[in-house]
Amino acid sequence: MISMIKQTKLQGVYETFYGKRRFFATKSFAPGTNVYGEIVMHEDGEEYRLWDVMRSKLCAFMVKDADQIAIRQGSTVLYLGASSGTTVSHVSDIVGETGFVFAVDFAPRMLRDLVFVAEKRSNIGPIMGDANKPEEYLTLVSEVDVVYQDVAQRNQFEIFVKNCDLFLKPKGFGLLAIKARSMDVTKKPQMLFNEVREQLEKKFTIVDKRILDPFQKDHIMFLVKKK
Amino acid sequence: MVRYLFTNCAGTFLFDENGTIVEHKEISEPDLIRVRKGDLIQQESRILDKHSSDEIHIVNRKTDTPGSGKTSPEMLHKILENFKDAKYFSQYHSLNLAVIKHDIKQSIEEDLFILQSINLVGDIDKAINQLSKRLREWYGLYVPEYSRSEPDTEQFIESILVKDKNELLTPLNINPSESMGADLSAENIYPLLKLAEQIKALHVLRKEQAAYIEKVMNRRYPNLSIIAGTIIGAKLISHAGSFKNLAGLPSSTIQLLGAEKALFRHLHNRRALPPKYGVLHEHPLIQSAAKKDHGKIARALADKLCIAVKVDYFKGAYIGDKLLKDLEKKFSASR
Repeated sequence: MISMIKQTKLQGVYETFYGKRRFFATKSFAPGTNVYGEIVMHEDGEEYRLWDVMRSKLCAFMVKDADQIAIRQGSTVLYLGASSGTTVSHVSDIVGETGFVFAVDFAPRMLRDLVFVAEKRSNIGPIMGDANKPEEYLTLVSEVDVVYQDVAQRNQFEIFVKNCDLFLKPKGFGLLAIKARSMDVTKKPQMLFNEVREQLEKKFTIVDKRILDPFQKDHIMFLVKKK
Repeated sequence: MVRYLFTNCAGTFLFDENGTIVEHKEISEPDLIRVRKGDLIQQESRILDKHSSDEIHIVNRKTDTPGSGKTSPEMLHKILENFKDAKYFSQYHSLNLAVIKHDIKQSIEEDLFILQSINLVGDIDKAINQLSKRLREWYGLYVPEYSRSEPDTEQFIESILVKDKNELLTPLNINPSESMGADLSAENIYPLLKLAEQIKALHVLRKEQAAYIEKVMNRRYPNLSIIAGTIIGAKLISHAGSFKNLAGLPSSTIQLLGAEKALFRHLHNRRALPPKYGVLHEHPLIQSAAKKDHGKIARALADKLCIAVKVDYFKGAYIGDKLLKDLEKKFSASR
């Protein structure tokens, strides 16, 4: 039933079959720990954590056949909207010892869980901060290779630009998850996505975009490069 | 010469215009917390004194610290470039953890306790309901006539805990031998009464929680409490997520807190009418008024509450009684 774990074309991301389903997986940076009840597999003395596509937008992005995700071994990532650390833990797996994830969120309740995750992973720096005011965490982060954003706020776009301006290295990559309902609950999602795309094109080169249905309703993820 | 003073969790640094490090000192956790508050720390003052002949810009600090707030975005980038270095990662990890634990602790306030308590009251009500149904069903095998005659659950439980079958049926003028219920042995009555005891304990717990909510609400949020009452006030806080959130809401939102399902149904469907009130509907001013006035009163209530929570948030004067009087004058008089 369980077949071999294979490397995919995305560095640090593996795939396997569990039962009849295909799963993406990452090699655990903190073997022996479990973050959100994920399925864990062992092969050749290595521990792999199966990535739940229903709980992670980054995973949904890959399942929708994204060619690249910009996050790789050694990347420094600014992760806005870290929540309790579900996706953050997989990013931590991918960037490994030579990378780092600055995980920012606003809600103390979620951050409490994130702290427990970060205590076991030396490449995660959890930060309580408002993504709307990046100056407030200037003392806690460095310049980064990638800005990953998944905050359900009305001014998602503005937040993304502010943080990329301040922290993203020149020619760095951004991953922006947009939730249509957060921006305007009455407009049609496709219209909102087009509006965001037009605004993104002014400051970034759009490398890829995927609508995350059926894994996340009315969500789209953009992969962009700083101009 | 122009210099830039910048402190983050990698330490205190002095940069030149090219972003090259001129001075560097490691930083301790308590100092980092001071820096995040906006203060200048000792090692920074020392560096400022040492380079007093230079023009020093203090980056990312309160603008009233001399020399701060003049760093251009380009310069900031040159500075930040230095920090994407693996040698600082362990510091980022340990200091970020220390700072966030401090921040999370600081964020815990009394409204969070109210939130848990009022939600618990809801949980207890559901539990009492469910267990009481079970108790009545079960008791119906023993003395169905009494089970049917006493509608008030609390009274029902009080009675069955102290009276036996005869004592319960005699006041109802029923001959115990004519009862439809079985004559249960002590062994079979025991689990029944144990259940009754637990439900009684839940009632007591609920009362204690309500008293706790009342105490904290009146003490900490007097204006909100006098107008909405402590229970509705607590529910409003719960629906808003926190008191800070509640204080920032417009009155139209306060009016509809609790009616989210109806609100979004209306927003998605032109033909569904918008709700007029949420938890506010439980307020005595609305309960005692004619149905056609409910919406109007809810709106006025929400308006006053909007003011009241802001006064409470900034710990201002007690004006809640005046606001309540305005409302009572407007609506009680119209009856």
